[in-house]
Amino acid sequence: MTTSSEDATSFRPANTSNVIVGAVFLVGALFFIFYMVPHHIQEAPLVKNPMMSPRWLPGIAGWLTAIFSLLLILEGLFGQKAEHDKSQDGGPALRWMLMIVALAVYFFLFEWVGAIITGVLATVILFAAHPIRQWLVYILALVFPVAVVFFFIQVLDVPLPLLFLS
Amino acid sequence: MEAFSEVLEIFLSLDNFVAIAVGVLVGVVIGAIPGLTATMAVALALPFTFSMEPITAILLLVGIYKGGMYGGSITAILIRTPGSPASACTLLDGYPLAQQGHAKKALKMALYASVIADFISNLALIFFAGYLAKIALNFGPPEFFWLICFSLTIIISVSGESVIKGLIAACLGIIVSTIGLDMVYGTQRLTFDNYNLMDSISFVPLLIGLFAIPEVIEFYVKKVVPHIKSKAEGAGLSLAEFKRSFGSIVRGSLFGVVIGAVPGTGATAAAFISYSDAKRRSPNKENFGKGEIEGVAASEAGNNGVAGATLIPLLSLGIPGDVITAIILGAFMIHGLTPGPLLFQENLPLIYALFIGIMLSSIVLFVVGNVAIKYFSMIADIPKSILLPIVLMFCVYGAYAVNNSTFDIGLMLVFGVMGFIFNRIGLPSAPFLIGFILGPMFEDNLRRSLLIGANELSIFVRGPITWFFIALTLASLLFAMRRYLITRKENNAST
Amino acid sequence: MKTKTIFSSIYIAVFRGVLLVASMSATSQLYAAEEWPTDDIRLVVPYSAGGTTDVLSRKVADLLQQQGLGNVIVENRPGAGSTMATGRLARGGRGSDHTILMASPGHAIGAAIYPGLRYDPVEDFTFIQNIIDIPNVMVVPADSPYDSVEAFVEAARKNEMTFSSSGVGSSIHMSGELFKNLTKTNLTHVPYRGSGEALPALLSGDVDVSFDNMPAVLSHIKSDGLKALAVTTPERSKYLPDVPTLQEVGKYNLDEFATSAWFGLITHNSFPQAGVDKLNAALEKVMQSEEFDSFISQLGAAPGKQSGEEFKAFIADEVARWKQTASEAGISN
Repeated sequence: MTTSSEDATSFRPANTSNVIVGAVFLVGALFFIFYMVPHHIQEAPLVKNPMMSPRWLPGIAGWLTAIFSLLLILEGLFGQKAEHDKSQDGGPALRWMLMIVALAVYFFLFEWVGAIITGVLATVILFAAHPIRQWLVYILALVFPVAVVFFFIQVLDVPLPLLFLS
Repeated sequence: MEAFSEVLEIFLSLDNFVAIAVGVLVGVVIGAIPGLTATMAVALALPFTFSMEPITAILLLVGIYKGGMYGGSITAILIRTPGSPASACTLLDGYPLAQQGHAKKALKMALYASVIADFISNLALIFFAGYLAKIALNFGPPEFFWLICFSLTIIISVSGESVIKGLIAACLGIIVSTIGLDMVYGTQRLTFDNYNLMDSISFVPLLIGLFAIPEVIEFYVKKVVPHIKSKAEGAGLSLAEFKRSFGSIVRGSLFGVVIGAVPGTGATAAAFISYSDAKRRSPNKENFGKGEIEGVAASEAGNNGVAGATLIPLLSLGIPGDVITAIILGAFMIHGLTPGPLLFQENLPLIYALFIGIMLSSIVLFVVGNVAIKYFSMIADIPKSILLPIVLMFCVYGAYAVNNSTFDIGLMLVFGVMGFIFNRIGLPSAPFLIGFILGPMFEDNLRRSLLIGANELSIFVRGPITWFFIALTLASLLFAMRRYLITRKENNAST
Repeated sequence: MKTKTIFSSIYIAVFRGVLLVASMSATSQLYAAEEWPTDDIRLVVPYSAGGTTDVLSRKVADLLQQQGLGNVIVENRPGAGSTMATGRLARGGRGSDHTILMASPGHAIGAAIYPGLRYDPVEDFTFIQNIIDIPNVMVVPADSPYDSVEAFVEAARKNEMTFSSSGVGSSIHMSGELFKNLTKTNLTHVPYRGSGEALPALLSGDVDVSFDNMPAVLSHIKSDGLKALAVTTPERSKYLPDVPTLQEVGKYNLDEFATSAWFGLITHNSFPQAGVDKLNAALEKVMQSEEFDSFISQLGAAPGKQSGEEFKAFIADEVARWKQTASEAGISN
């Protein structure tokens, strides 16, 4: 995992990933404390006690995040050695790209073309991404959204958007 | 005895039995649909109760409530989609068990724990309602504040491998919970002028996003692995396992009763407190979070212990402790009844008939639950390649249905990606959820205490209840510290 | 490609299924102008299920259906006070000729305190009918030393006191702020989340006073858990005939104090006039029905008296008043 050179003098952190995670969160926390809190949390007028301020809890949570991130970095540098379980990555690119497409379909098309069509579309994309080769399964992708949407609308009275019905 | 016959007269009608059975069944089914929760199930059933007798209507809703709570645990165990924040605690051990092929065992244990807790909770409602309601009224903002502080210490025990990472996740949860309009001043916090964020983030999209969606993403990012067929049929729950967990179930039920009787804390805290208590007492601490059956039992007991007890403030004071009881309060009002002290004076037979019905609903839950397990555990046999796309579809529909808003679908996906990243870098999701749920309660009660006490800090130590929870908080912290040092020593010794 | 054929066959099947249902409603759409309703009526509740607005709306929907107006579907669209659903209604669009909304004080107060609303709470809507008014009651804990509004005000001018509410911008909160401004008392607002949390604080005496809605406190007043000092409406309530109105106090600028939790139906400006007329006619019958009467007596409410035009003028006044109250309380944006 570590990229540091193999000199005898070089220092190897016990758990590099914790150091990286800690560093990212530390930077994030500092950004939150010094930019987000003052710019995106309005201070209320007439705050008598600092603990009453809308900025108090987010500020505290931000500082705590920063402190714990620092601890995480220290632990990663000097703590116990962690055995790495090699991550199980490496699915084909098309597979996860189709998954992202399916998620995008749900988000961008839902209101526009309705629940049934997005449901069918996204499910088919995900089936194809796996890929599933049995034909019969694709019928599920068709039947389920239609059945579920009608169940939601007719039985549960939950109005899901549909393209052709207002 | 005249009163008794009056009670029976009200209760003994076919409608009531049908209402309880249908209610529990509908509750289990809707609760078991990803994205649909017990809360929604009760809300959806409300209009159907208009034309019913009051007692029938209330029993139907209570049945749905109880069934829905259990149904939410079914999905939590089988497909990592909790139906309520409380069943997110069940998921910690239930889902690993299901993955190891013990879905049926986990589901059974969840059911038994639920039913027992439900029963204990109902007994508390029937015999101690008046007394518990008085305690509840002694819970002002300072008492709540310390109760929440104590609840926050359980973050340490649900953090898994790294306490530091757990604490970071909890802080992030708190930060996310502050999004919305400020409770006291109405000023904007991290809303970026977006109207969808002003009412703060609703928990259903967060819950589904955090737990269910990462499973979907993970599946499609990983290399294809051949489906391991884990026959759900095989492993049942052994008597030994049940006996081992029984103590935790009873303790969890009692936590649930006390917390449920106090309006405004809710089942989440009860489930997690019960879970961490069970973990603390258990000889197999290390196995918690990896598929420990006692963990499932403890969290379900805490969760369901709340269900009967939330009716205590509702019936005796007319105060709804959570969203579901608020809807049930609405049902009372539609039928011309106002829960509260007067109801006990004017409509006592109705109350007792209600109690009988509620007891009966626990038994019905046991029967319906057993049938449901038989069919739902088949879900564990469906290959993930087919199951996950369909789960995702349900999640999307469910997230939309909460507020009828596409924005919530987006939120769910964002939290899904966040949950995926959390899994990758080893940040536990449960502390994030606890931070998100308890953060606002912490802040609200801190500020209310300051407002009521006119900025005098002495209000935080104003009575025995505050002292009790301060002691509990400190003890919990000390205990966690001691455990941390012991494990460190053990680890050092082993390396 | 195999997938291509899958897509096309799916599309055809979906089209067929959907068209079948669509044709049922499409035929009737031709008569849109005179025939109303031509579709299900949607009653939007701008809050989540279970609250007073929701319960009332579901009852009204049920009663309207009995008047033969076809299906009335209740739809909860909570968010940002009530301004999310209201903003959506103001935008109009698809289905707005069959959409009505249950407006409540949040409609006027929201306009006063939410930043940068993109609609005008008065001019962007057609007002159908005011349905009910629920009085607020000035209540103190049972063991409070104050038995009258005068005693309370005199004490609150000397000492710091607190009042609870169900949240910033609720009618309970704004009534309290208005009272504070008019009487020049030292009241501090303690917000809770919902009436359910606010009530225990009052019962246990953690806060000194509240201006809570009638249905939440009525049974506690009757069982002596709370003392009612006054009602906030111009007339006494028939449910608490012995409790004076704030106007009756006649001092401390209270002679114009009148707040209530009012509820009424509003709709988009493009709503057909035929629809407004039919709804008005149906509502009139509903409001005279015994079922409606017994329902609102449970809420401690009075039937609404204002017609559409009066309702509109009333809301214009409300908006102006709450804007001023909010800015004096420092919660306006």
